[in-house]
Amino acid sequence: MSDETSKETDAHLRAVIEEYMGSFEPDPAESAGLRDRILRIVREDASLAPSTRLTTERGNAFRISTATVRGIIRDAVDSVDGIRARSVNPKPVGDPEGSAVEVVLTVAMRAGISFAPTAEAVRRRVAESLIGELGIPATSIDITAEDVFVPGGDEGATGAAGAAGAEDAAGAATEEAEGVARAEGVATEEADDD
Amino acid sequence: MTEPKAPEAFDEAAASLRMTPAVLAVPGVTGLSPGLRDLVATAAARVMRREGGEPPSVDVRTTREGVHVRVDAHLDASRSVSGVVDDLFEIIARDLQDADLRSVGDIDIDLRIVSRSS
Repeated sequence: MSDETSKETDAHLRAVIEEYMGSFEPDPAESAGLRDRILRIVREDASLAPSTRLTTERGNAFRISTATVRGIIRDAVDSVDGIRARSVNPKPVGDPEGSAVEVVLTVAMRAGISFAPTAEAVRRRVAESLIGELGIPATSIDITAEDVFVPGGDEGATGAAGAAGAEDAAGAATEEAEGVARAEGVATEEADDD
Repeated sequence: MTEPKAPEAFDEAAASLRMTPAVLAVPGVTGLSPGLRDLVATAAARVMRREGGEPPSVDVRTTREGVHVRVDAHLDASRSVSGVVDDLFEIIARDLQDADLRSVGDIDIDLRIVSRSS
């Protein structure tokens, strides 16, 4: 996983608090435990959003909330007909670190669609989005179909339990997904070679 | 030969005041999020039940090593993130160079993209 917590070290936070406290003279009655209370509040705020460290083509390193990166990838996946993103895990790679990303996805697919060409469409869309939206290329995009859904049914309910009347379709799609999962390894290796 | 300036000679507040509108003027930047100093000021205001909360600004501080600039930015989706990041680095570096940064030390730019709205 690529998440890097944005939590600052306590030492750094304490230094900022000390600096701030030096800028005014609080009432002694007010200042009892003040630094620790401020530290606690700031630590909670600062640790809310995990971030991913990336580097632009010009070599400028920056951090971006991981949720933003996931959102870009998720939108690209969901734009492919018959595919819905489940887990999305971007990992910074490359030299310098973060100049590219590896993406590992799990998806739900609509029953009856052919996985191999659809997976290629997903790879294409995700790669285009990462370049277009982030400006960062993908070195590999691994896709695992973990579930199937039937149009109009409860998405995600069919893979494990099967919706009433949809079990045959879901079962057929699951077999197909399993068949493609074997092909996925080949496709992934191809993607890695790019 | 130029004598190295003491870090105190660099006016952090003035640099922050200069950089904040320049950063906000970069196409694709929609706003700033509170940096550590702003978070501390807001937290202190909460704890002491005082008025607080300056508008978020570019956080500039100096140490013996040099000048550290921290920007927590919100973006829109009008441009690629990398394009905005490169522009921000360029604008910040240019501002600090204009301030004769060689005499202050290294530049460390800590840029965090907090959100990107479509």
